[in-house]
Amino acid sequence: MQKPLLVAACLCLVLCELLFATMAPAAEGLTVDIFGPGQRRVNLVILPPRPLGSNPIPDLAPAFSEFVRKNLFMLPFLNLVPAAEILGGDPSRGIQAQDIDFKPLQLGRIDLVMTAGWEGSELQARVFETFGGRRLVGKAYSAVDQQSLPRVADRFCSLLIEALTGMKGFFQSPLAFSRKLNGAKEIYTVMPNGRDLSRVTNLGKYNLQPAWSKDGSRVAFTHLGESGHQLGVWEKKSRRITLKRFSAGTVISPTFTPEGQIAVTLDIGGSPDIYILDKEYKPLGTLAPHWAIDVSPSFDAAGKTMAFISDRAGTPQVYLLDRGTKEVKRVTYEGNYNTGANISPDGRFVVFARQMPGGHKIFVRELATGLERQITFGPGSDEDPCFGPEGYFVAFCSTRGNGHKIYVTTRNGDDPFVVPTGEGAAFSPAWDTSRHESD
Amino acid sequence: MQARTGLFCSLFLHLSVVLLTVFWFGNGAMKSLDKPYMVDLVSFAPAGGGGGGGQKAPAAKVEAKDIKALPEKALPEPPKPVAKPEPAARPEPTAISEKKVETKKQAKDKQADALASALDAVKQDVSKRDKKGQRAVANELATLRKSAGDIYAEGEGEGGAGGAGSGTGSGLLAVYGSIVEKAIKKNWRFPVVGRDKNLVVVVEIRISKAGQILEAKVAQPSGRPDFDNSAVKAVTETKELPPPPSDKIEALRINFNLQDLKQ
Repeated sequence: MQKPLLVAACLCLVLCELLFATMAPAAEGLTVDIFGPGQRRVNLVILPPRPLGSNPIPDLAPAFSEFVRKNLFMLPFLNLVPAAEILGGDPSRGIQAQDIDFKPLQLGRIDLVMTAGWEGSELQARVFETFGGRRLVGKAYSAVDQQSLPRVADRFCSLLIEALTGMKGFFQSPLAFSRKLNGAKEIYTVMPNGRDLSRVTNLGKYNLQPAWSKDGSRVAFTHLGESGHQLGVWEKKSRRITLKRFSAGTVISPTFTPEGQIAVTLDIGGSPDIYILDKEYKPLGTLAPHWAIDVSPSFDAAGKTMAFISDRAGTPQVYLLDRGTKEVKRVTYEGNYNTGANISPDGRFVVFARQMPGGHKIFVRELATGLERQITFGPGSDEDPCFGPEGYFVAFCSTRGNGHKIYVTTRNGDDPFVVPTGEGAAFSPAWDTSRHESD
Repeated sequence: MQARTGLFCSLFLHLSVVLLTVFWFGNGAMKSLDKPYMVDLVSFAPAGGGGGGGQKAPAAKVEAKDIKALPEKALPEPPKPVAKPEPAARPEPTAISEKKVETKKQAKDKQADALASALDAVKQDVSKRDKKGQRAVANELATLRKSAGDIYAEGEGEGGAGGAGSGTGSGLLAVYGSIVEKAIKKNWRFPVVGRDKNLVVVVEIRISKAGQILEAKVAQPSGRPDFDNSAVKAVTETKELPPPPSDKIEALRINFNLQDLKQ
């Protein structure tokens, strides 16, 4: 009988140990989750340009810094701090990390510092993180002159954006748009910072709804002349324009598929449908056949999905076509008048204009979650939205100022800035997304 | 003999488990679960910048102030009648008889006495209520501490899910986590462009009992040095946190997620 007692005592001991082990306080520590930074802008300062050798800096040097400053000013994730606000003045002796005293910059909560060094027409530009002094961007440019200076600044800013956000092409992707001048509407192109404003058509009457090919080599548009609608295609390289008339009178909102074909609304069968055209611009068939009116086709970069507007449910709403399964799915249910659908190159978002009591406003919808968000506010009417190559910036036409102008915001609804398009009203922006590359 | 021993062991084990379940879950833990809800409310006081070590004193002070504040406002405006008679004493040049002045003085004194006694009565009443309130709060805290004391100590255990967001830790820890989150988040700067990929960096912080940040280092990098730097910089710029609710908390793990859940 002693043996069972011993076993029982042992078991009791083990149980007690287990009990105390669970009761004993565990190692102290606390885990905290932070979702998203409290400040969405980082502070950047541009230091005055410095000579690289014994020669003084050229006259161009301040202009380069100014071009960069103007470019970066447009970006909603950067806050430019004047160099005069640095505690103790310019903390640099040169343009390299070892020449910069980062301490006063850190104290001033400046996150990034840009330096530029000049030796004749040679330029070296760098951006450093003040915390740790790591170089974020560094680039050397040769033979920089007055003419090439703005483009050099644009290229450097593009590199900086890419390093900061992974997004490519913002300062190098032109917008095509329709501009009203002397009673006619012609197609123009311009960079989002207003650089390289260029006229594409000179056809007279109305040239509307431009759209870039996915490789950025062509622009399709609707020409509304004396004899009705025509499809217009402009080739960038040759600057040649081809006009194509269809037996059906209407030609609305042409756009390019990623494969290089044109999708356009024609009313061949009596009801306007989206047709796909072959290389000779002959209709091959409809993409989402229905008796209702289908317009504004837009494709993601992979060509898997087409967003479009249809009134098949009674009012204009946004729909998606899965090009693989041919399945059509309604996307918007709120609002009685949703138009101008444009899908982001990565296919994650659709942007569109919704009629609201005070005019049309721009909305973004995340397709995976169905989350919808209004991104434009304020006076006037906002229409014709389109995504930039990175799927982050959104250009749209607005009457918020004096007349129709083109503005750029982001899909987060950041403060829009106006795109300088010269005299006359500007409509229907379309972004060249050929520089799209997935992050 | 062996079968007997086995049976005995089995019986003992089952009995132990049953007894353990009854005493452990029945008496202790289950009962104390009702209380932590009250701990949450009280714990705001130390978190809001109260003294480092004790949760008792600041919480009691907050209660006492509240009680004091109410009756004082309800006083029959004592300063006004005392202050008003002063201009009446000004006309020095005019020939007013001393008697009149004296009677006025006496009247004033009487008024002041009445006011003072009223004030005393109110003060006594307030202090009684004050003490009562303090006692009540102190008793409440003592009870809470008794029942929730072990919860403070257990806290986050192995540093798993707790914290501000998930809230699986104790009430005090969850509130403290939320305060830490706010304090650091406001100093965190990073370009938000809505990437589809989330970035996460885990930063380990060592803090003093007073809440000072002594050290911050990357425990798990995100793969992007600039993102990791932004997180460490946010902690460095925060410099100081409120004193932790328990002396035993010396380290914090902060998960910096690029994606904002609200967006």
